[in-house]
Amino acid sequence: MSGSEAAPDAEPEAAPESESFTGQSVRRFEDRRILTGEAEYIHDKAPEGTLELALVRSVHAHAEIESIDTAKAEDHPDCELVLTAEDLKEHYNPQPCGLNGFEEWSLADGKVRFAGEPIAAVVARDRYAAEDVAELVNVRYDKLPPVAGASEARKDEVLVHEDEGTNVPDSEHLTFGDPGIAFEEADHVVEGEYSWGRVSGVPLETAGAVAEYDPEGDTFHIDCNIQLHTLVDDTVFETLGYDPDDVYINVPPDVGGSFGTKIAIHRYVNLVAMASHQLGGTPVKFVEDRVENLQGGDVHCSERDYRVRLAVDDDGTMRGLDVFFTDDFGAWPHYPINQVLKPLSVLTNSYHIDHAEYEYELVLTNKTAQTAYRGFGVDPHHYALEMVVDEAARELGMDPTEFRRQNLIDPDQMPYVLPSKNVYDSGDYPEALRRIEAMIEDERDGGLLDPEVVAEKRKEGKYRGTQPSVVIEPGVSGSDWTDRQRSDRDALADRTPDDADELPEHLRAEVAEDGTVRAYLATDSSGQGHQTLVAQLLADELGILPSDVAVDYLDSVDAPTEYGSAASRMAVMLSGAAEGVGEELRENLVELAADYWGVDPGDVSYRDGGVDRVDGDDRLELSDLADVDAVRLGESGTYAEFDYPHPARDVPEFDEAFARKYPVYPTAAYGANAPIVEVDVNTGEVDILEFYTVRDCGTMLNPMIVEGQAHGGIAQGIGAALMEEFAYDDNAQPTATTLFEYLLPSIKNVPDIEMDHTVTPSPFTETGAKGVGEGGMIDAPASVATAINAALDPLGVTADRLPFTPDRARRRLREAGVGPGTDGEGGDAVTDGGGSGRGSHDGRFDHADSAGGDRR
Amino acid sequence: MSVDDTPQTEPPTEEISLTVNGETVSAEVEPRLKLSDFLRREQGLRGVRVGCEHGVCGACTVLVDGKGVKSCLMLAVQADGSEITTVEGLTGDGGALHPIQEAFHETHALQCGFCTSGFVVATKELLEENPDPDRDAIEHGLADNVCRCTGYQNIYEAVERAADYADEGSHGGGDG
Amino acid sequence: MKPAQFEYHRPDTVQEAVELLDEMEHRAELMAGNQSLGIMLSTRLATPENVIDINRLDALSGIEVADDRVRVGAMTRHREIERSDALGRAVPMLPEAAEQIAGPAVRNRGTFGGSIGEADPAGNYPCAMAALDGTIHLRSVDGEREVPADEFFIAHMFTELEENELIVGGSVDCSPWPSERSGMAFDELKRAAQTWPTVSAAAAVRVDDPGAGDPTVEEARLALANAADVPLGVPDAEDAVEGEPLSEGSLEAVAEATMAAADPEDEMHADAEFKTEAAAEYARRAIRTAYERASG
Ligand code: FES
Ligand code: FES
Repeated sequence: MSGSEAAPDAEPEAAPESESFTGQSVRRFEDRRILTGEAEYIHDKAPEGTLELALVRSVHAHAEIESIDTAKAEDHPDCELVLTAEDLKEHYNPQPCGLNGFEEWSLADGKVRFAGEPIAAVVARDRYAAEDVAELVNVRYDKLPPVAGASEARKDEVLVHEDEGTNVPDSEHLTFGDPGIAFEEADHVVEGEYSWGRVSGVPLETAGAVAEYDPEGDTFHIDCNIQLHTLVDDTVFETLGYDPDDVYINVPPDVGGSFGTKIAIHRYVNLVAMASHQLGGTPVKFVEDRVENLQGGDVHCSERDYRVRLAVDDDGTMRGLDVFFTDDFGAWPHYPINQVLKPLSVLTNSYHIDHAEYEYELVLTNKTAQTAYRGFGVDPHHYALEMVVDEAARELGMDPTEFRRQNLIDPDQMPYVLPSKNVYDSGDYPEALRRIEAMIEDERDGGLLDPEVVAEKRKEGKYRGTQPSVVIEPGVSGSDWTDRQRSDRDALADRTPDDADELPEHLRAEVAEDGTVRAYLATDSSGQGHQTLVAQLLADELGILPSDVAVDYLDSVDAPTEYGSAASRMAVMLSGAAEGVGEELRENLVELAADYWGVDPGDVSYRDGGVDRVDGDDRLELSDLADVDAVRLGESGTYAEFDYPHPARDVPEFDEAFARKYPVYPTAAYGANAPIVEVDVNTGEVDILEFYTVRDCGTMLNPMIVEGQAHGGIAQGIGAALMEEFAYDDNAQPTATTLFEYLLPSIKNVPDIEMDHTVTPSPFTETGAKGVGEGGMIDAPASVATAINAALDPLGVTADRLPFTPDRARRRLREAGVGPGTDGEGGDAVTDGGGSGRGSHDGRFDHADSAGGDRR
Repeated sequence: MSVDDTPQTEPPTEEISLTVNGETVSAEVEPRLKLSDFLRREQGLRGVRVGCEHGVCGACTVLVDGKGVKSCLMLAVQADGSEITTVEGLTGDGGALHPIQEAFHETHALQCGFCTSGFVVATKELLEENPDPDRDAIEHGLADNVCRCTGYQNIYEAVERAADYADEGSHGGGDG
Repeated sequence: MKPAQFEYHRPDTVQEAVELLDEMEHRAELMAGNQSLGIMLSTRLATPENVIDINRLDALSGIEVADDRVRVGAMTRHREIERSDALGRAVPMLPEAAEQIAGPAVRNRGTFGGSIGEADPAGNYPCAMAALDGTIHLRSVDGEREVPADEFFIAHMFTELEENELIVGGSVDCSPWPSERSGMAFDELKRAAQTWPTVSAAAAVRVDDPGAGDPTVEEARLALANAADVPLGVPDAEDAVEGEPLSEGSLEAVAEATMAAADPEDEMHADAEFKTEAAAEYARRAIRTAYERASG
């Protein structure tokens, strides 16, 4: 093993100085195999004799399938198998969907509902041959008019699913406190409309799966890079029509990124399993190519149109919040439908607001389905909320930073119960705001934001600005609330907290013959460094070196059903589980040693990788204990497992959220950001000159990893704010089907990130750590948008539509009378930034025509 | 689609002979076979990662006669007579990490690692041409590689550290 | 994303190559740097029966500067153009255009001739060659012929090239651009390193006396990429700046002339209106930079 031992010139933080490894920037054990090319990702798996699968995909967004002629394909000498929905329906089941009542087959059944939807699968010796064969499948379509956007879909003129009778299969309107009164009494009601473009994680590794059916055992053995393989395995075994115990799903230790997206790759997993089954057990592999991934991989994420109202008083007090949005889910409501609910966990962000309304409509259109993506629907919520806060500050004529400061939740209010019943565990938001302001102070004086520099730049048409704010990252999701949309909502009123059913985190550890420790995770990883993290934690628990802990993964059958690596859970759940399993293992080892020596367990004690007799006479090292255990019969004394219960279960503040099935996220990490942006008003280009951020995620288990996560999250947030989008044309044809169009931030787009940390431990978790996996993506888009608002404030233009691409920037500037060739003198500044302004005191939105006018 | 619908039973093939990570290799390949697939599939060099197959991500970058090339946009048959180096070829005897690999490890310049081979190989070319690159030069030199995980911050650090190691004529990494 | 089957041919001489082309005509695709064709093959948007790989035609690779004429071989890689000192002195627009193409790995393979032949309206060299009144050199079994750049590009990805012809290179008369009183600029709006520019502007300016405070523009050239379906020259913009020192007023006229001439296609995140404005702004910038460079 390699990794954690400090290099001779290592930076101080890499060498453990304190007693514990936890909290140190221990270098990663995962790195070596990756750096040398040895790491085996799913694309590399190919058991002897593996055949490859390719898909025939729909060229139309919406059409009846008249016929599928497979004869020519079957005649191809390399063709081993062709599958269509007809074959699937004979042997298998539809795939479970996120909402009840949808029958989705792994291959389109009779009708295609998005461009790129798989219609037939072919299998051949390799992918080259499979594509040759796929080209010979002839599909005849009867085209139907497509529906390409939420506002159009809500009219229900064209139905994506006729049986459903509507394109809005799920919606909810929740009221917290008394928003009616708040809005009526407030001095001002400010309203804005904001759009969030369809983005997603787009990990560098595409989906892949290799399945081998075992005819003797009638079982399936599937390697794939699905995320949450112990949770979402039902999307596979139910589809195959097998018991969970007969479908072994394994995820390689190295997955080339997921960010939530690979939760929903079950279609591919099912198809390779079915193909291997049909071929009597020959292994079949599928590797999604990039065009498939972007166009029809079921992996887009939120596309939202918001209307938000904020009730504020003259003195700057925020009284009420009213949020309405539509989310364009694409053709099928897949699993992560509950991302429309997650924003409830941070409903009012860092602000104290007692009264709120929250309403959404989940809309189906002729686009590829949504999956989860880092942030899980919170990122657009924060964006919309921060936008309306800016709007309100403008209307009140208040400094937007002061306005924010005045409404921040105070440290004495912690733990703070939100109107939507989630609880913020700890934090000092005013302090975070103070710090971020201190960080940019130098820039205001002789730096990037020096008034003279700013004025000089404006003469060239370059507008600079920043807007500090504090943004919350909810962490460590519970699982009980996640099926709210499949529950009888009327029955929820009668529930008690005890009805909530939470999933624990499972961890196993055993002592190997050589005295090293082997741990088994019941989750999967995709670059977060979980092996390193568990090695650190267990090393501390057992008083050994992290390099003496090897960490492996369990398959879906071996592992109990549990949530896994999502929703910023792992740091917290794994620390709890490691503490539990460590204690258990120490106890077992003590008993084993006592048994061996024939003494009372009270006469021995565990210390630093071995057990001592209290009388000092003897010691058994871990390797000795392994020997002792090997000759013993019966229960193993060198093995332990532990299920760490969800930390919110024991915190009474969460009871109401549990009872009502509202999102429960017991940790609230936060970031205060101040990206300094420069908008070239002549070309609409936005340049982020420097990204300042102060972050607090409680105790940092491995600061190096924490910072790395934040860097990556911020880069993704910048992408969502400025570059990335899965756009569609009026025929619902995707216009971003390669990475030339779906623009991932390149090294030239990501600025220097200047990061500072504060540490406010969580009172609700074992180590004080908070979930941190989604930071950056959750907060950076809102921060970039408000920085743009600040920069363009003199021109009255706001970033009311993300990504704020150069053409959209120019459109807004044009509307504000800022012509090209602006040298800072020109331009009719108007104060109304498109679509926003005063709202009404009476009544909410006219939904029929709100949310989503300008889709250009 | 070619005019002829009847599938060819005998695909055309070509003989090639090349050097891969110092070893001479001969093979018979279909002309359509991409260099990336040849290296991964026939040579077992899975460190050649494939992220897009259209020349954007750079995960498949290898050195062909010392120059960085996206192996998904080169045919195996075109590499006939060339010398190829992949990330596997950088690792020293006994598995010692190359100073660039070491620098990436020490600075946490990789997370999921799918882009890493490409970045390491591109860094090799960059440092050979410019042993002491500033941030702009690094930006320019790594413009063909996309990383979705790290936000590039630590990749700058890694390249700078690798350049320092090259300066010192050795590298500090002790944990190979 | 795997190519369909094809027969592979690798001629060793230009003569062999044109003979093969003559034999196969539309049944063959020429493979140069493969940075664009490779994508078309992968997506099977191109499924040629034959591929003629011209990477071993060493005679087509290289840069020659002699007697006021610069000649760039078709198989010269972007990397070589970017780094050529001789080009940097004679027609600095070409290295500047080259170095802005993607990143080093793409530039190590991509070729001058490939880009000219692809005739993407967003391409850098077609635009530069149009700005510089360059000439494209073609060869077939019947011999060589020369086509001026402004006649070569006919429409989106459509050129004068006959099916049996090979691009052997391009040349530029640099006599109008004495380095001591000329300046050139190639400036592009590009949203990320890995993608194509939204629009680009190529400008060349010669002044009377670089020592003077406000030298007079003797001659100016301007072409834009992706502002129309071919590289777009803007003679009205050139006229607007010639014969007087560059001024805000004449730059405004450049922008107006560009707006009038531009006729771009809508794209995602760049509709025609935006591209027209951006073209005007980049035209203004490129002319200004070229003028500043000419004025020393
Ligand atoms: S796989 Fe070759 S560049 Fe992405
Ligand atoms: S480390 Fe995951 S893409 Fe770079």
